[in-house]
Amino acid sequence: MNQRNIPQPARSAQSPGKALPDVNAETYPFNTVQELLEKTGNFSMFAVPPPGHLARASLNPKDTYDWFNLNGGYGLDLLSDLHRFESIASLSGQQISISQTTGHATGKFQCLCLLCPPDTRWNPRQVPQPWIFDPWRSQRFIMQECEIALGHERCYFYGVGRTFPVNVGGRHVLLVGGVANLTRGTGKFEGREGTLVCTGTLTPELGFLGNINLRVRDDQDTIVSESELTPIQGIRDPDRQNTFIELRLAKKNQTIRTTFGPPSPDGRISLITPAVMRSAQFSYVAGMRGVRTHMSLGQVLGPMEAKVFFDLSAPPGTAESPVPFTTQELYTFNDDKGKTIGTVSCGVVEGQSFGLQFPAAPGQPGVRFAGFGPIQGGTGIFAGARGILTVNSMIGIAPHAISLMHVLHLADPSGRFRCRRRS
Amino acid sequence: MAPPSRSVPSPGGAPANAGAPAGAAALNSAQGISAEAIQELVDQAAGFNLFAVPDANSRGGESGYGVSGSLLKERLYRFDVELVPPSGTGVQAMNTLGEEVGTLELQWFIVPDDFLARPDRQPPAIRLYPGISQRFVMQQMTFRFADGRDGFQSFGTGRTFPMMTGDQPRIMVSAVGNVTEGHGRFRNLDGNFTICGDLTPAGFKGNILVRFQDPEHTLRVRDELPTIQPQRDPDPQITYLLWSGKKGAEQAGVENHFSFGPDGQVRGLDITTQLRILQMGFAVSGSFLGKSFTVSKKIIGTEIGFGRGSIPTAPPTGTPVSPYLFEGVAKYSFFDSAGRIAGTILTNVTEGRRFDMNLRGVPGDQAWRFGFFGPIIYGTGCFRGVQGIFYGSSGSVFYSPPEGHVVTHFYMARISDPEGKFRAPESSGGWF
Repeated sequence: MNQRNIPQPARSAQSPGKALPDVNAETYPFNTVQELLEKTGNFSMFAVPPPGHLARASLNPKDTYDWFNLNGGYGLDLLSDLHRFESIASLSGQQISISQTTGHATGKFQCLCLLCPPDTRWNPRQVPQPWIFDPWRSQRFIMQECEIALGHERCYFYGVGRTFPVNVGGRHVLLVGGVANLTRGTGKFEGREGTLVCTGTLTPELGFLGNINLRVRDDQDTIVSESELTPIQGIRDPDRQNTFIELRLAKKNQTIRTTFGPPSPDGRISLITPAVMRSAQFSYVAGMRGVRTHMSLGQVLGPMEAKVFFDLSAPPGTAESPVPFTTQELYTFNDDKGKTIGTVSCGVVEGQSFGLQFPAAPGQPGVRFAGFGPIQGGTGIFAGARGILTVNSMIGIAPHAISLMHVLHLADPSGRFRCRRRS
Repeated sequence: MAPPSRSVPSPGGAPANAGAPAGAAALNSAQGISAEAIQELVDQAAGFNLFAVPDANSRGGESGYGVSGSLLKERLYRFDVELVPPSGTGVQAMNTLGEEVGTLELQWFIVPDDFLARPDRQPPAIRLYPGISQRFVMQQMTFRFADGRDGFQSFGTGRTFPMMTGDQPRIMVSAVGNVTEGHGRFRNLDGNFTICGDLTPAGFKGNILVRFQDPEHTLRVRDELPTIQPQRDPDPQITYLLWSGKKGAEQAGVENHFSFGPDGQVRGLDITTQLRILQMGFAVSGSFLGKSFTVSKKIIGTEIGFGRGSIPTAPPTGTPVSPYLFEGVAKYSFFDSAGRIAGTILTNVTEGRRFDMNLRGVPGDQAWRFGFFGPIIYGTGCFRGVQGIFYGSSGSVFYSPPEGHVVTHFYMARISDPEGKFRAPESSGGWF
C-alpha cells in the first residue's frame, strides 16, 4: 500500500473538552492503520551459546589487567548463535501442545550486560554504576554493545534487562528478560526502527539460552514477504527445560473499543485492550539476498486482556528517552466450545515505548513498545506456571489498532506443554 | 578477596613489587617495618573449623526450620578439611568429622532485605520461603566448649541460598558472625567466623570457619593436639575445600592496583594472592586447645580479583556494631603438579564484613579482620558445572597501592558433590 491510497485524517485524536483522549477515534480508518502496522518484519530466533566462549569472555577484552572485567562479576559477556525458531501452539480438547522447532544457525547475538542499581535510568550514553552479579537476586542490567548479525546484515541495540531467579522443581534457575531498541543497522536494517525482546535462561557457563524476538518496521516493503519462506529444518532441541508459546494478538475487528481503566497507584492511566490471541508461525531467512520474514496465522486460542499503565502526559518516547510502561495481563485459553481450559496471569515490569510514525499516513500517531515481566501464575492446564512474558508491539493511537507479538516462556522441565517436534 | 582501601587512592599506578610482603622490603615506606614482620603479626591467630549438627532433642521453630526466633541447641564437632595438592585428576580434599567438643545455642531470625541489623535491635521475624534467597540475623550464637569454661558469644547476618544437591533441594545458608564476648581462653580476643551449611527443620547443619587474633598465645598451644576421632560422615553429598590466599612475590604485572571506571575515578581495587594449602586445627581436652595454622610453601594456584566497598558513601571504619561492607569478584586458578591449570572457580563475594582491630606492632596499630561469602558463579576444568558457596575469614594489614599489603585468607568452598568427585579418600595422606 502506498501513500496515495491512504485515506486522509478524519478528525483529531484528542477530543476537546474531555479529560482523556478518545483513543478509538479514527485519524485514518482502523483497517488502514492495521495494514500499516503489519508492515513489520518479525524475527523469531533462538539463541544458543556456543561452547568455549566462557574462556574468552570479558567485560572489556581490551583491559584484562583490570579484574573488574572478569565475566560474571559485574556483568555478563553474552554470545549466542542465532537459530531460526518456530513455536506453534494448538489446542485440542482440554490440552495444549506446543510444537517447538529450532532450526539451523543463521547468525550471532552478542551483548554486554552490565548489572546496575535498580533505579538506573535508560541512558544509551552512560555506563551504569557497577552492581555485583548475584544469581539469587532479581537484578537489573543494561544491554550495551548489543548486536545481532544475520547473514551480512547487522543490527545494534541498546536496552535494559532483568534477571529472575526462580525455583523450578527445587532447582535454582536464573531466567533473564530484556528489551532493547534498534539504534543502528546495516543492509536492510539500515535506517530502520525496531525493537528486540528476549527471554531465556542463563546457563551454568554464563550463556544466554532462549528466545529473541525482533520486530523491524518495513515501510519500504523489502523485508516482509507475502509468500512462505524455506521451511525450517529442525535440529536437536537445544533447550528441553523450557517451552515458548508464541502468540500473535490483534483486535477481533474494528468495533472492539479500547477503554480507560482505573489509574495505577502512582497516577499513571491505564488502557484496557481486549485482543484475540492466535498461534502464529514467525519465519525468517537470512541469506545472500538479505533477510526476509513471513508470518502465517494459526488457530485462535482465546482472548487476552491487558491493562497498560503509562504516563499519558509524557511526550512520545525516543531512542534516548523512551516512555516506560507496565502491564497486567490475563491470557485465557479456550477450547473449541469456548470453555476455558487454562489461564496465565503475568505483567510487564520493564516496558519501554517509542513514538511511531507512518510515512504513508502523515499525522497518524502510533507507538512501538516492548517489554517483559514474570509469569505470576496460572490456572487449569497452566496451574503452577512459572516463567516470563515478553511483548513486542506496534499500535496505532486513534484508532487503537494493534499488532502484538507476545511470548509466554514457561519453565517446563517435564515437557508437559510440548508435543513431539514437527517433521 | 580483600576489602578495598579506605585511603584516598593515587592514580599514579603501582610499582611491580607493591604487593610483595616477602623479604625485608618495607610494607609502608613511611613506617619502615618489613612486610615479613607484619605478616608474622597478622598470623598470630588461631583458625579452626567446627561442624554444627542440630541436637536431636532440640525443636525447630514454627516454620519447622528453626529460624523464627526459636532458641535452638546444636552439637559442635571437630572438623578437619585438608586439601590434597591438586593433580591431573583435579582438586580434592579430605573432610573428617571428629569428636564432639561442645555445644552451640543459636537464635536466628529471617528478616526483610532492608532490615538494619544490630545486636541491640530485635529483628522483625518474617516467614522463611524455602524457594527464595532471604536475609537472616544470627541474633545470638553462643559457643561452649568442654564443660563450658571456654566459649564465646556472637552476632551476625547472612543469607539463604536455595540449591539442589543431587536430586535433593536444600536451603544452603552462609553468614558472617562477629564475636561480641569471650570467656575462658577466649576472653578479650577479637574473633569472627563465617558459617556455611544447610538450614534443616531441626536447625543449622554445617561448617563454622573461625578465626581469632591471638597475639598473646592464650588460645594456642605448642604441643601436638590429640588425634581427631573420626565420626560418621555427616553429609557425604557435600565436600569442603580449604586453602589459603596470601600475598607473595608475585609476577610483575599482577600486583595490587586500582581499577578505574570510565569516568576516570577509582571504582575499586584489583588484588592478587597466591594460593597455598592451609592446615588448621584444634581440640578440646579439659579446655579449648587452639593451634597455630600452617601454610604450605608450595603455591597451588593464584587469585585475581576486584573488590570495593558495597556502599560508596559509607564511612571507612568497621566496628562490631557497624562493620564495613565490601564485595567483589575473584577467580581462583588451581595448578596441578605440572603447573597446568587443573580448574578454576569464579566467585562473587556478595556480603563481606570488615572489622578494624588493633594489632600491636603494626604502624598505627591498625589492622583488619573480616569475613565474607557469596556464590560460586561458575567453574572450569575440574570445577566445570560446580555449584556451591565460597566463604572465608581473614586477617590483613593494608595500605593503598603503591604501598604494600599483607593478608592471610582462610578460604573455603562448600561444594555440592553427590558423586564425591572432590572428596579425597582418607588414605591420600598428608601434604607437606
